[in-house]
Amino acid sequence: MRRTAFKLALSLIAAVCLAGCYDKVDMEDVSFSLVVGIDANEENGIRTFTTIPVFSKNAKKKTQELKVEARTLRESRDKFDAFSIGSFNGRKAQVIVFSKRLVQQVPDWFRYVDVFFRDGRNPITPKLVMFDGDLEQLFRYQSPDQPMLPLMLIGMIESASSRSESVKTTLQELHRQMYDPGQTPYLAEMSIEQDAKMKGTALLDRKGKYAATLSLRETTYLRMLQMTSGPAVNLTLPLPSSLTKAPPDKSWISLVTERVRTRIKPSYSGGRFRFDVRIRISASVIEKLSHIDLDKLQKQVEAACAREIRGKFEELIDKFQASAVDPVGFGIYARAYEYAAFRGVKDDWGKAFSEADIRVKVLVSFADEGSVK
Amino acid sequence: MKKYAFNEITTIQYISLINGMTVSFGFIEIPADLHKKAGTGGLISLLLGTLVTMAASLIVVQIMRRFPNGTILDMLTRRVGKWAGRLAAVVIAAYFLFYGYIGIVYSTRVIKARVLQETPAYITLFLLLIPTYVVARNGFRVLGRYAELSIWLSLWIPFVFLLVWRHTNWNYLFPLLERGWLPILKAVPDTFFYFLGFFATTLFYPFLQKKEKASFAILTANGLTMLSYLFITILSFIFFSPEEMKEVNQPSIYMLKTIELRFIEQVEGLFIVMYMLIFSMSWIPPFLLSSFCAAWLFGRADHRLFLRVLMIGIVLFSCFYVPGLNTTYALSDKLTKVGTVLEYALPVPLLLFFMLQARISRKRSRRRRL
Repeated sequence: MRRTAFKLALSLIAAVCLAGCYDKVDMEDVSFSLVVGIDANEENGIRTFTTIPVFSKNAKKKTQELKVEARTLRESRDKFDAFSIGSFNGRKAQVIVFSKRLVQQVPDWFRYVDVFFRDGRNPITPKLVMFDGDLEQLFRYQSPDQPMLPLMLIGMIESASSRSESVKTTLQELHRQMYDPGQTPYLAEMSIEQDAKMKGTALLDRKGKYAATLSLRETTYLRMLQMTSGPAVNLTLPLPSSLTKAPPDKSWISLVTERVRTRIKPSYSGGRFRFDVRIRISASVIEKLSHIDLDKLQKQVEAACAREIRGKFEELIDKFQASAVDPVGFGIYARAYEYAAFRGVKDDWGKAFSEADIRVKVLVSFADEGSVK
Repeated sequence: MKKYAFNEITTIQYISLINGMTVSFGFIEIPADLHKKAGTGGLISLLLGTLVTMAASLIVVQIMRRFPNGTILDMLTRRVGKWAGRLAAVVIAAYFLFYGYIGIVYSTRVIKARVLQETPAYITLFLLLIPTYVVARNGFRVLGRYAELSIWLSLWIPFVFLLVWRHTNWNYLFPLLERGWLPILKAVPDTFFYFLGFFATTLFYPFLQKKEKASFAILTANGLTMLSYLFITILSFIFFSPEEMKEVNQPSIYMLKTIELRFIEQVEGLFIVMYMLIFSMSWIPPFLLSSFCAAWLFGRADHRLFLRVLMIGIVLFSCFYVPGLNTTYALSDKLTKVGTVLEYALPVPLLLFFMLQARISRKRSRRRRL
């Protein structure tokens, strides 16, 4: 009898305590912020935007867009709360959009996203985009043939990134890139011209300031250097007239890569870093706008493609070195294998990198020539 | 005389107990700690620390072999004197109380920060104590079963962590000897904190079903602990860039936050909840051991009264004050110091003392025979 009474009392206490779980949240009472936008205001502070899905039959528009001025993101949450129906909450943020102005003008802008890392319940997986233009434009943008803004942004980032035409930098990856002395950050860039579109990749310098933009095509080469390119990257290359016996820039060949293997070998001598980059691409021919006979001239065509691709890599690396950014992470190799030399230039790797000697070697081999001759 | 029969624990339960107690929240903390003190070379410190721990645990087992049917308390009473046994009971009870308290406060803090932010800490702590009592009141055999079950139920953990594999970069691991050998050697004593708990052998020993396997079991437990630490440490070191490592608290949880699955969000929240089984090993066995020592001190066979007093005490205390995370870290530093003395240093003179005593008595008996 006493035991039963004791057990009963214990379970009662437990039940009472559990009901007091203060963290219970009902879907109806929450406004989930799916996209967070951060823009610079005139005083180099921030202006934040957000879009919230509206779960209501009567609402004509399925999302609610808000804009507030606040000193920090957490402060802006309280201000958003005043506008939204449920209690406002950023735990489901999918995309964070930074305006180009913020990245370009506001020093140390990365600290504004601190709340995502510090608050244990916030996600660190939102995808990041830099928007070239006024964020007002993006958040007010409602194309009749596009889904709502969060879905549109996610879809565009995912698809461009899966074809290696852009990058899918998440908040966590940006955090790593910002703190890694051997690498500089990069994130997807988009703009609105006629319609919303991906522009390519924004490269930032060591401090997180905007440095340069890579086009969609250049990004493909960046991804190959980083060894993050997917299995099927499209490359369309001109064939030299010496091979085709046709006027230049009239013969084209398109390849789909099957496997890209990149090896970076760092060395250091005479106060200068040197990187030997060796890229082996095996690819299938998917399109050929030329009368050249691939069976006979396979080796020569492969070599011509390799030359062409190598030129692209060199152009790209020149661009990095000109703006002293290292999105590939050459510095990570330098740190791992030439630490003594790297330690000296750790705080200004960008400069050391811009003086480095980088030699690229490309090998192309065709795996398949397609189903017609 | 088999004072502790009918409450035996099997070898695998014993391994689980020691392994669970040592790993517990070390799994969450060790990568950042090692990196702070010795860079990626902390891996070497970890290996060296394991070797020292294995030696220390073997010494403890050697001591216990000399008196297989009693705990260290019985042994000290028999061989040294009544006061020595009592003193040891007080010290060990206090030590394990402190040990378990840090464990439960740390777990409460993690839950508070990551899962139940708005629930007051003392309620979380109180809720954790309910299953603690249910397990701990039944003595060592049930405790052993619980430990074994917890380990089996946690074998999925490494597989979840493999989901972060695509974010890793092996180049971050090098150079291993970034700052030379000195910091690596200096960090070795700091790894002891993550192995504390094997001293419980001194109390578990008479309950062991197969005492001849004790040395093997404790080495296995230490080895498993090392493997789990090695796994999480290497993974963190290749996941975080070296500078980033300095910026992140509880890297193991942070890594899980990067996992995106189609059917579930915030994997780390689920992980923390499931990991409670292992977390709980840092306070359930110590609380039981603590009340066991208290019961021994008062010459009672039933430890439950003391367990109840202990728990009610903790609940009442927590209503007024639950230490913050930084205080918990400061307390763990204290525990490291106390534990290093009690678990690593003290057994050595104790073993020498017993060996000397045995030799003297052997000589005496030989003389008598002559």
